[in-house]
Amino acid sequence: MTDARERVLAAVSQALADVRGREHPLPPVLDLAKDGGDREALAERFAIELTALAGTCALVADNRACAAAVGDFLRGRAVQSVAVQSRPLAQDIASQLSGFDVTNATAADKTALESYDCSLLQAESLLADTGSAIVIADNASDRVLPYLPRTSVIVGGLSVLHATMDVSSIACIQQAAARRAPGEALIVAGPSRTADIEKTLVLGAHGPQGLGVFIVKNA
Amino acid sequence: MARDISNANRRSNDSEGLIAHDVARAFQRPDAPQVLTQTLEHSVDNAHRAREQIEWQALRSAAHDIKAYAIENLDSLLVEFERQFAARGGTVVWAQTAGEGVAQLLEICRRHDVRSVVKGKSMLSEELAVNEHLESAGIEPVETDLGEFIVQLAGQRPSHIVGPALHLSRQDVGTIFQRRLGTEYTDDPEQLMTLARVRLRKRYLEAGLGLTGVNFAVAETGTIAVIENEGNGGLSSSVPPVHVFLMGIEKIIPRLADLPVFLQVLARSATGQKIEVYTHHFLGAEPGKTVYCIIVDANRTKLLADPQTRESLYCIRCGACLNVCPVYRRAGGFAYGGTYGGPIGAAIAPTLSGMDRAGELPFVSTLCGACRDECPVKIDLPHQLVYLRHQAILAGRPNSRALETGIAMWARAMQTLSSYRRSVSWLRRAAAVGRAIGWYPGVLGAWAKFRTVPPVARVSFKEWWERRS
Repeated sequence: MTDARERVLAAVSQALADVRGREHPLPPVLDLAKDGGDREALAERFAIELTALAGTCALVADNRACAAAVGDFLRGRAVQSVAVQSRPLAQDIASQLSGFDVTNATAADKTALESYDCSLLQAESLLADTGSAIVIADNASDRVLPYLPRTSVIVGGLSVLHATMDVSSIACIQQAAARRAPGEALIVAGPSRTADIEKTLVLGAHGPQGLGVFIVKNA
Repeated sequence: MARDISNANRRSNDSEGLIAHDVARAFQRPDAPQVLTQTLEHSVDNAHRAREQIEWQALRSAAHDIKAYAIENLDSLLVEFERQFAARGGTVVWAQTAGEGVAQLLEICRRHDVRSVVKGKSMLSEELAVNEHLESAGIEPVETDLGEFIVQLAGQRPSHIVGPALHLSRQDVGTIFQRRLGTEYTDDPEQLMTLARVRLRKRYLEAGLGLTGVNFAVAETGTIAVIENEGNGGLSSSVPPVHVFLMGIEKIIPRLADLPVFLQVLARSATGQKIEVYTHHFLGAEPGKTVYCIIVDANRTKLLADPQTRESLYCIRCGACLNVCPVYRRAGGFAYGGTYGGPIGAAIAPTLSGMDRAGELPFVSTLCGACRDECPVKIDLPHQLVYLRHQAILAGRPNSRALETGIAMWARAMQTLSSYRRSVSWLRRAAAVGRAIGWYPGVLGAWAKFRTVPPVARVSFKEWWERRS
């Protein structure tokens, strides 16, 4: 099988003999950008979309207010322990949480993260028209963190909120790819779900059953 | 009441995933349960709602154009993807045949002393019959997508590209869990999901290797997008120490900037969501992780070589064409006998599996065109099916002799006015007799078995016209 590469590429090349030399320019990138109004209007749109996906969203003034709102959210879900992603905003919010067992996820073995009630993640980008958040997880613990705890909290600055998924809103993925970051860029839109049995929606399939997104005006 | 599911469509040991069966017979006795029809209608409604408020046709055209470019430049884009993926710490492995793909996977398992494999959803792994080969090698495959987990427990194949267990009712699933997992019977989907989650959670931790499919492989960056709703794909790829992507050669897209177009059209067509819950964009192997990508041809270059079938490689496996197909809705996925059902299955199986084994499939279509209208990458499936019918006839399709005889008889009847009148008169009498006794010969009988044959008018139009004047 050592020559499988050559055989596959030769077969591909031969199969395309009829178009060899034909001009086929790369299609232009479709401009999907939308004007969603001011950022607070976008935040409202984000909240509507996320609520439709069974998540919750709040717009808060600053990191301190965010920590207070996250604390209320966690207490409402009887959360006691929180594992935090190794990103600066997430770490700062976590440092201001009181009354919870808070741990840096990278300090724990990745398989031990299942014992935590909640994950605290940082959005590098927020997409209003789908209520989704982009999280960059570049180490082993951060990669499993979005799935293992039963509740998930994502914090992100209002400055990273975009109207729609287009080239500019996925620039954080482009940048992570360009600097050859390991791991994955994860786009999350609501709590984990399945409809594999008679199309009946069930939340919390393999990932979290609850998701709260907190957008910070002055992060 | 749960239906008997014990003998339904057992998995094949065939390396190409095609169960040798009588296609004509399968479609003559459609047994798609009511739940399937309702579910598919629900899926179509959701998909159409999700397309409101966006420039759907512009997105479709863009997706079509990008795929056209990618497929016509596949040789250079595959090489570029390989180079970039390797620069991210991954290893690309190539396989020209299904057998080579399986052998490469088994070699990776052997190299890393893998005893069990957790699997995210992958149609290519179904096509290669990966589970059967792993089991034969003493390695336990564990499906983690709920639908795939259910059909694995039932010993079946998926019946739909996106919803593997759509053919099963909640009562069926309850019975399967009760028999195979020894759990107390319940038909509550939430409780069933919880049972599956608890059982599968420890399997992620035990597994030596995670296997996922690939939705899009970006040539420019060497990164890979995998899309799912449950989180099982994320766990399968992140928890085990080894991760293998199983990818058909057609999954390439040129640029990362093209990804938003495909994310928008895929989710809306597959599940009727604006975006799926998890879009994983794999950037590279983190420390302590080994990552492979097995790139598989498995006769895709035959589809590529024929300009008439090349477009079928644009398919993004959303399943939208299945949902709207009147034949699929009536017959269900198992009637197609292979990994891929519905219009796209009928279009690619004759080439992937051979005309001798799947040459009947292009004929199981009404050519109504709903699949073409629904396809998010604008594949002209009806024309492909007509073309493949022609190819099947040229290849000596089993029924082609009967078809030729029928056409010859029709041509003879049409030669003169008197022979036409005699033939029509005879046919009208035969149809009336058939209706009276409830029996018709051959394929007419099969057709009439599930349909009400309309009565034949006592006076033909011609006779009525002559009397009137």
